[in-house]
Amino acid sequence: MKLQDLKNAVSNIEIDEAMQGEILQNVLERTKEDNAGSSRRKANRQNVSRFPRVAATVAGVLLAVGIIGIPVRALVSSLVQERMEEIPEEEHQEMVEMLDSQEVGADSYIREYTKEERDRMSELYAQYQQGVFPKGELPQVDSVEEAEKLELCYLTTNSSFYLPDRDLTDEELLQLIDFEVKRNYALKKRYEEEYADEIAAKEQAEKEQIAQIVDEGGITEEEAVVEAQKWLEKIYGITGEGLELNHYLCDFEGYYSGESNLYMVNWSQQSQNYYYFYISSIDGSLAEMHYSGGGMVETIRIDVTPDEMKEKLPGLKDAAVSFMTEKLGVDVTTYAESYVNYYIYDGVKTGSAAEFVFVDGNGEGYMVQYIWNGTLSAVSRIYDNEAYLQGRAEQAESRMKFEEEKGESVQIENIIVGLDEL
Amino acid sequence: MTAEELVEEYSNMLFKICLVIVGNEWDAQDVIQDVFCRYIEHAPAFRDSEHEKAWLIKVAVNRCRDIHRFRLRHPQADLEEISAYCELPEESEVLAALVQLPESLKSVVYLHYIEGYKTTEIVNILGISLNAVKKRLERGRKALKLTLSD
Repeated sequence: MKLQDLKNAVSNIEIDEAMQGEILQNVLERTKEDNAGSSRRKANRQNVSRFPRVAATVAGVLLAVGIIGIPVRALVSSLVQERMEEIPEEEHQEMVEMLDSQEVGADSYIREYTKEERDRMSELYAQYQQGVFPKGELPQVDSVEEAEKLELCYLTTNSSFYLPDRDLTDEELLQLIDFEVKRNYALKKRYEEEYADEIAAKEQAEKEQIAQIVDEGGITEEEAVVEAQKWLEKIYGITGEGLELNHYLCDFEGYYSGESNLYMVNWSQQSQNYYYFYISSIDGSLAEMHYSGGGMVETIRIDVTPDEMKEKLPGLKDAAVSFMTEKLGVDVTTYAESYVNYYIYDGVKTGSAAEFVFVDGNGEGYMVQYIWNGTLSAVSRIYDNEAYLQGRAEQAESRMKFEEEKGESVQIENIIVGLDEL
Repeated sequence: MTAEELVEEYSNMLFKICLVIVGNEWDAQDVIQDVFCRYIEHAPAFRDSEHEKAWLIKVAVNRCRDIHRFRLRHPQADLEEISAYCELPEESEVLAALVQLPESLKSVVYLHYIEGYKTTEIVNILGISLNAVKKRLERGRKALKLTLSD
C-alpha cells in the first residue's frame, strides 16, 4: 500500500452537515445543563461499598520495579532517574535536536531480534532498572557508510539500528536499552520544561482535589494503585511487574456503574493487553474493571447468530457464577434476581458481549460481562437494576434512531434471560 | 472558542480520526460531542492553534479508547459504512485496512502518516513514550504493508 493511497482514502471522509448540526445541538444542550456525561452514563450513585476489599495478602509493592515501557506518567527507578540526571544538559539537547530532525517515524532494524535476544532483553531491562548499566554506549553515526563499517550502531538520519550477524551480547543489549531510555528521557524532559506551568497547574489542581478526598476520609492515588494491584493478582494471577502502569484521578463517571470520585489504574502489556481498574477514592473498593486484548478485536468482528449465542450462554453463565464466587467471594444464591442480557440486531446477529447481572431485593449487585468466546471483559457494581435496564433500552433506542436518521433501519432488541432458564 | 466555532473549525478533522479509530459513525459522533463538551468546560489556555488542535486530538483519542471497550455491547462496525465514503473500490480496501488495525496502532499511524505529526510531537499528544510511538508505527506500517514512496 502506498502512503499516498492511504492519504487519499482518508481524505474522502467528510462529516456531513446534518451530523455537524446534531453535534452542535447536543453540545449546547449538555453544556447548558452543566452535564458532561453522555446519554449512556448513569447519575451518581451512592458510594456504598459492596465490592469486598481484597484481603491484604501482599505488602505494598515497589511499583517502579520491573516496568518495561516508560510512558510519560509511569515511574522509572530512582537509579535510572539518577543516571539520566547525570547526563550533561548538552547531551539531552543534542538527542532532542537529532530526534526533531528525523523525518522518519518508525525505527527500522537491519534484522529482527531473535526470540532469545528478545527474552534476554526483557530480563536485562528489569536488571537495568536495578542499576545494571552498560559499560559503553551505543555508537551513533550519521551516514550509511559509517554505519556499514560498524557491527552495532544507530544511524541517526533515518532512525535505523544496525545489528550484527550474530547474537547480541548482554553488554550490547544493555547499550540498546540505555539508548532507548535516554531517548525517552530527553523528550520527557523537554516536554516538562516547555509545559512546566501547565503541568504544575494540573498537578496542583489534582493534588488539592486528592487532599480534599483524603481529608474527607478517602484514599490517596498510591493507595488506589495498591488496591488495584491486589485485584489484578486476584482476577488475572499477575502482579503487573513488567507491564506499563498508568493511573490518575478520573474526571468522568464510571461507564457501567455511573460512579464518580474514581481513580483509574491500568496496566498494559506491550500494547497487547489492557487491564483497567476503577477504584473508589472514597473507600478503595472496586467500582469497575475492564479488560481488552488477547485478540479480542478480531474475535468480536465475527458475527454471532442468536442461536450460536444461546449455545454459548450456559458456559458463560458458569464462568460468571464461578467468577462471582471465587474472585469476588460472593454467594450468588443469595441474590433475588440473576439474569443475562444481550442485544440482537434485526433478529440475525447479536452484540459481542453478554452481561450477567446479579441483584438483591434492593436492585443492587453486580454486572459481569463476557464476550462470546469466554473472555471476561468487564465487571461493575450496579446500584439500581431498573436504571441499568433502562439504560440498556435507551442505548438501543438511541442507536436505532441514529441509524434511522441516516436512512437505514435496524431493530435492536435487548434479550433478557433468567439464569435458571439456562 | 464558542461551540459553533469549534464545530466549524474542528469537527471534520476530529470526525476523520475518530471514525478511523472507533470504526463507526455513531461512536465517532459521541466522542466528538464529549470532546467539545470537555473543551467548553475544562480546556486550558492554549498558546496557539496548534496547541489547541493537539489538545483536542489527545482528548479524542483517549475517549475513543474508552469507547472501544464499551462497544463490546454491540457488533463491530459494518465496514460498508466506512467504505461508503470512498468512490473507488481500491480506496475502500485501503480505508478498511486502516480501520481494522488494532486500536493501539491506529491513532499513532493516523497522526504520523495522515496528519503529519513527528514522532516527538505524537509523544506529547498521546502521552506515551517515544519507544511506544516508534514501535507502534513499525507494527502499523508492517500490518498495512505500507511503502513510503509514491
